[in-house]
Amino acid sequence: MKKYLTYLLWLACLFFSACEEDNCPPNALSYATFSFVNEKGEKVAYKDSLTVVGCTEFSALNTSRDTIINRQTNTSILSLPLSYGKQTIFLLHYMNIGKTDTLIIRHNSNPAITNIECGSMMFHRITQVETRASILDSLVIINPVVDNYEKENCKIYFTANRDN
Amino acid sequence: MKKKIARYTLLLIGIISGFSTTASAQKKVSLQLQETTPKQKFYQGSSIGWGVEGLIGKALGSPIFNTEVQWQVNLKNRFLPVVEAGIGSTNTVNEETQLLYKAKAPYIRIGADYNFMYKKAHLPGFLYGGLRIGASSFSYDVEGPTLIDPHYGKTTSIPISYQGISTTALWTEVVLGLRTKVYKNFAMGWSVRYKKKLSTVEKQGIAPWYIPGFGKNGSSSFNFTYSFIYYLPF
Repeated sequence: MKKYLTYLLWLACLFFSACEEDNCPPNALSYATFSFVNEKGEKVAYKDSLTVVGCTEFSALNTSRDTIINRQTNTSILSLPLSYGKQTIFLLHYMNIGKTDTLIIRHNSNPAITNIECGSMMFHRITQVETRASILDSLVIINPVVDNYEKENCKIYFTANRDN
Repeated sequence: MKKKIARYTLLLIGIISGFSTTASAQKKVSLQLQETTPKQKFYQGSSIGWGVEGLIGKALGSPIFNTEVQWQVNLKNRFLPVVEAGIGSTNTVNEETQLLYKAKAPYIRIGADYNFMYKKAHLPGFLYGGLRIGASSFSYDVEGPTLIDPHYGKTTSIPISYQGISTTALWTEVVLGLRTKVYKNFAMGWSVRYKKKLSTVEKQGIAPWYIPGFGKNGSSSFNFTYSFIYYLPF
């Protein structure tokens, strides 16, 4: 009986050590996702070259801007990092036609910690969007929560004849 | 004709002997039952216990300290309602992420065990299974390195410093354990526990890393307990 119990105890110990698992999320970064759609809400792609530049203030455009996407073709989805502040501005340069759309995203940014073993992340909540458009029609919030789960946050509407 | 009479006689003997053996077997069974299951008193005493696995874990270098006391009542040597109350604490810094987590709070569990060996009261120990429901209301601190925006000129930084985030956790446990008397009224026992979290409120986007009484935060956890037990003489 004693021997049997000792074996049982060892088995239990082995089982528990085998159950240790790392629960960290595979993706610790959060990106706002924008999808291109036509006026019917159907997914469309911009086939020519597109460059996206981001900054936090218009005044900082020449000093602290980041080129996030450089001359990408056949674009239907944009995954863009939001700033840790309250506003992020994205400039969409349609290279072949020499036009630019501006997306102004206002948001809250809050640190998130799911487990101290996994580190901290920054999550955002989009509160308001605005555009200065040359070829897009409108920008609509679909899901305001920007976290490390990939999901569509905004739709960028284009009209069919302008859609390349 | 003679053959027929002989056949019927044999059959009759067989039936009578069969009945008689069945009846004697029944007598034996009823006698055995009387021997093995004497009428049990409803209240058979109570015991207090002290869970020491947390002390052992801490001594071995675990960042978590935990200790608890248990009060258990024995009903008919079969049903064992129990109340467990303890305190859990941690104050740890993760070396990789440099995040500090601090929490200290009491917890309580109530439930009952079932003695699988209730018919063998003469044995010094027994194997049991049980269920618990546990709860803890606690607050925790989290501190860490300042978050610096990796984009847009790296000009924005946000400090990680949260003090006294309060929350409540509720969970259930399935218990399997063994307990045995070691000397007079003293006993020792261990149990394994599968814990399933029912709820916890995550505030300010900062999840608790450790829940007193539950263990490391997650949808479920496994734990091992080791207790010293004293059977009260009343």
